[in-house]
Amino acid sequence: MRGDPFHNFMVEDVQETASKFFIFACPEYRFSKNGVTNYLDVFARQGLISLAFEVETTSRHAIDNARKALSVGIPLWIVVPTRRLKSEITRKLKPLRLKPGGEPIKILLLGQLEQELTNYLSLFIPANTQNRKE
Amino acid sequence: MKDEYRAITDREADASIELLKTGNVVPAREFFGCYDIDEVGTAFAGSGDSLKQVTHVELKFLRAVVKYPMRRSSEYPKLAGISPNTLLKIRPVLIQRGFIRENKLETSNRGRAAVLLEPLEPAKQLVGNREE
Repeated sequence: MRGDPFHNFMVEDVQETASKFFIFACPEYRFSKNGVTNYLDVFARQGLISLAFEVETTSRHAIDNARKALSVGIPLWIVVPTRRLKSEITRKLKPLRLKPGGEPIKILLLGQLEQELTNYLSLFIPANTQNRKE
Repeated sequence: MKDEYRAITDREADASIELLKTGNVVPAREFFGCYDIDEVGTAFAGSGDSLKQVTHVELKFLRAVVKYPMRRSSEYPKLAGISPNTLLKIRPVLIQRGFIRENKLETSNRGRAAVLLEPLEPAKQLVGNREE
């Protein structure tokens, strides 16, 4: 896996959490768009629901990764190690108003991922679909 | 016209610095904290001598970090078989010497961020060499 050991450690953790909820959760998922090959840290899919996860240990590539997810039209969740980085990335992305896959980008701490996935996927249960914000 | 860039002889050069030897030297206050460095040093911990200067306790700790990377700092005293106080003292030293790196990981809970320890290349080299 590319990235420094801390990044890879977090990617493994995200993949492990995602695989609890999705049948297909693949790290280092490769896709090609307009002849350019890109990688997503974790790509999860089940039926019609698909999510892209990017782990950021710095704010350097936040915008690139958001554009990457936008180009393939998959909702993007960014997982960060600290609150400080979370607010830094939020500040960077807010003015761009990017909505990959028609959904706002979520920025989470590693510990929040499981809870957020539970909340997010519960909105796809037929009884809850009317509560889902588009 | 006089040539400004005329080459001077060794004797002329020596004579020109005579004044520096005889004149009064007034130390500049802004350089009080400076000292001479007799040789070019390197910050890389893996270079020669610094590898040998690791104590027995430091080595025990490094072994644990290499064997169990990315664990919370609080787990290492048990894994390495050393006291938490000793670890508290040697950790900043080993970070400064480039053997290990700290990564902060905050959870959704309140409180201090967990510190995960990552072994760097010099630590892996050192432990590898000692194991052989």
